Amino acid sequence: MLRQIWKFCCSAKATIIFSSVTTLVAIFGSAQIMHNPQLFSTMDSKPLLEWWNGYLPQANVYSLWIPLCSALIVLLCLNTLCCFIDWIYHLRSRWRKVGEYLIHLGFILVVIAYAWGSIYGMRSSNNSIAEGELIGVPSMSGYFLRLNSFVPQFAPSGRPVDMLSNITLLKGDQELKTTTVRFNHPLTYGGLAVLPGSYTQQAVGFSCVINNQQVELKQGSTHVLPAGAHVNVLEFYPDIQYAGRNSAANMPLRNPAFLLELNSSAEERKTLWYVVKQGVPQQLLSAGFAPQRLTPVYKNYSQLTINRDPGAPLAAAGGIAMALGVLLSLRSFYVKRFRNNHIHFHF
Amino acid sequence: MDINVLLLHGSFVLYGISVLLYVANARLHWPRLHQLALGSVLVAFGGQSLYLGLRWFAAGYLPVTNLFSTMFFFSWSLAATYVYFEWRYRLAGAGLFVMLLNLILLYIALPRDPAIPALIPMLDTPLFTLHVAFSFLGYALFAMAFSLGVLYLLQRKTSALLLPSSDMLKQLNEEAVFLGFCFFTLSMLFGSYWAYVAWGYYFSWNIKALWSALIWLYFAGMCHAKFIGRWQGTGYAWLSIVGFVLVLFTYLGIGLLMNSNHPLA
Repeated sequence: MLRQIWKFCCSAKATIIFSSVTTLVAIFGSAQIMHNPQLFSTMDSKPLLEWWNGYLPQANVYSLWIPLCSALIVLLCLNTLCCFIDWIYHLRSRWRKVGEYLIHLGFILVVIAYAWGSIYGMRSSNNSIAEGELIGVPSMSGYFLRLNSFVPQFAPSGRPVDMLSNITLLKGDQELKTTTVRFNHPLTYGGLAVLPGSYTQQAVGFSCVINNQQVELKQGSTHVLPAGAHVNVLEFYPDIQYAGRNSAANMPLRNPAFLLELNSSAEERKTLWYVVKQGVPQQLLSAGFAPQRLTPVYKNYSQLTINRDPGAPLAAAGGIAMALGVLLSLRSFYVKRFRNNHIHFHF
Repeated sequence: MDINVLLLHGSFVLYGISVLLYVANARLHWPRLHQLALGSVLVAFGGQSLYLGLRWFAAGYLPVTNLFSTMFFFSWSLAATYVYFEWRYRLAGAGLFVMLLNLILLYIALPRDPAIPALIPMLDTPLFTLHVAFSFLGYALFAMAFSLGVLYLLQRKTSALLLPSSDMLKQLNEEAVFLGFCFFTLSMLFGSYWAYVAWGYYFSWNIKALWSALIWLYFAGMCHAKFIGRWQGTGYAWLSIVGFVLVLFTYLGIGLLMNSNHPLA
């Protein structure tokens, strides 16, 4: 009885049954994806399990194709595993089939890797970071990314061609890896992949003329006035509506405002708002602070995609096993053809 | 006349002539006609290869980024597959069916715009070239398996002298499926690696990727089916026909009827 069960588990019949049923379920699934794009278009934005948990409240009977398809793939993987174990057991007499069984092994590894990544993976997009800034790697405490430099590249027509972000991955203070990421060239470390997503510009202040001198008014800048007083720029907000919030990329330049500190003397300090559209407050004008010809100063922000798939190295191993298996299968196929010479060859 | 136009239209005309010669051979059974038909195919394939090479050189990348160029590449791959099978096994009258299929592909491609579009940065990688080239080689071999499957069924019914024997057609069908599966596996591997370096994940739930995985599973099943008695011969021929329908839908149906965010949908 056990032997019969094992025989079925290893059989090509089981493979055909599972692969055929999976094919049919996937055809049904693709129709669901087409008819419900609002539900399924976000499937790539998260690892499968996280996406499924979020999707569950909207799930209906037609959504069952996802767990059903997953279960069938697991069964097919188990069937392939049994087949592979059976081959190992009979290796002495079946070693010529090494190519075919490397494809089996590759498939098993890829399925395990995908399941691992779907359960424990992480996907995060639009992580804005400016040059010199540091951001934490989502869901990996103690790991940080630093953007050393950022250069967007454009074609002569003005079409964006690439985005070159030189980034360093750090664990605490220790630098782990520095790479320039651009299209098709991510930073990879274990299962972590950091890729260029997009980029944006954020107004960080204004360039202007004060007392016939070209200066930049931005957070942290200090400007000495003729009477000996000086003005410190404490904060800059592209839109005063967002005052008090942490400065973040993508804030549009609508109603820009500066939070300034006027130091008339060592003892006298005043904090004042300078809302650009409303003009310079009288107190600042009296102190000789009269900026003219204001033009916004922008800072580039690289928007990175940060994904972590702990199964990725295993999937790579599976892919290599499959590729090697294909090459060996092709070789053994032709060797067999030439040996048996079933068909008359014409060269 | 522009050399590109000459090569493209010349190849089409020569494939057309080869089909006529194959038809004439089917009626008259003159071996000379078969040789002439094969000669036309070889010259047409040479012209097609030169046209592809010139476009590749001009673009700086394998031009397979729009419907014209992918249909042309599919036709070139099918012709290459046919030349391989003819060179190895002398397919005789079987060439008629394959070349007719090739002629249809070129006929659909010809009215389309052959201009080479600017390559988007994401596609500017050798992984893209390998993914697409292996994919279309796989498709061409599945098309070959489809042709051999149909001819097998025809041979079982008519026992035509001009066609290879049923046993040979069965064996060639299995070989086409096996080679197609191997090339398609390589295409999937390069595509997955490319997806990983471009988007950070190696499997995307877009319809085209899902159907490609489905085709891989289907033909993986077929590679096993040849070991099961009841699926050999006629069953296998029908499976090849169904498989090619799935391939055609993945290649053309998804792009024309559905929305997919696959880069080549």
